[in-house]
Amino acid sequence: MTRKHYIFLKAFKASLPILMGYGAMGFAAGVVFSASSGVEHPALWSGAIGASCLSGTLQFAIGDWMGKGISVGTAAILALAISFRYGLYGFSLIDRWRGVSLPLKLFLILGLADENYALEASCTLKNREDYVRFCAILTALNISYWFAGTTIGAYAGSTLPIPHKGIEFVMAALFISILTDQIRLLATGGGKEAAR
Amino acid sequence: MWHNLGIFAASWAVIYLLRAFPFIAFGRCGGDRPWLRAAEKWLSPIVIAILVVYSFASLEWRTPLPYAAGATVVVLQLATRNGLLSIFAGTALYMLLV
Repeated sequence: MTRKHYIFLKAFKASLPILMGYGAMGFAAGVVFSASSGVEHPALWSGAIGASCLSGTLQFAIGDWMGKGISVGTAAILALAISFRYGLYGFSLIDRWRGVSLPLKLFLILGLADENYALEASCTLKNREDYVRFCAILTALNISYWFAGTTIGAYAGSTLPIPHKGIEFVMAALFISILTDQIRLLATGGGKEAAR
Repeated sequence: MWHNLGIFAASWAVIYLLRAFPFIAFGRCGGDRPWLRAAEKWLSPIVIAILVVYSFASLEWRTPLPYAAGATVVVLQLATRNGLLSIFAGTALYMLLV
């Protein structure tokens, strides 16, 4: 097994819990999107938003914004509020990603979502080339999982009679679970964990 | 259609620029500073706490239902550290009750 194969397998194994998580959560987000957005082709919109933004919080919220027809400026402010934590993730990766080519770095930045970041920050590969390869493969896999989940969910939501009364609680549940983890980390003095 | 594209584009740009911010602002001098560590530690939980309150506004927050479901999420999250499990169990409970 070559080094490249080894890194690919390592990234793939690390991504398996996220395959479950993004598959299920992406599906739920797609259902919510198709129920709230009122757009003509929810699966197309949901997939495009999912692959380009890679954000669960946004995916759950943006359908509601489209359905209510809020202004673009308001959407930008709301997106800033619900996504604020993403602005903190890069700090711990500046040094580890130093020297990476610009196109690849732009791609890696796209992938700085909660779960992807947690795996990248806690990865212990020392060799920089191996580490960057690991991050790139992980990001590509996770984007594809999220894309599939959000597209299939929106398609199912718009064609099958999936009950969705009360499903908006999933947003609150997502925030509550993130907050619970963060408070637990603060209370226990932190330390790098391979989070959720 | 065009309005929705505008919402999409604005949200995308905000999220991408947020993720790129540390690299743009501190890419040359490195990000390992004490005040950044402190910001990373405290800012994010505070913002998320605000979001919990914000997300309750679109629920039946005058009834005990979202609080019961929310407590379920906290307990499960503390017990299992499995975000997926606690989120889905809490949401399923709320959907059953509401």
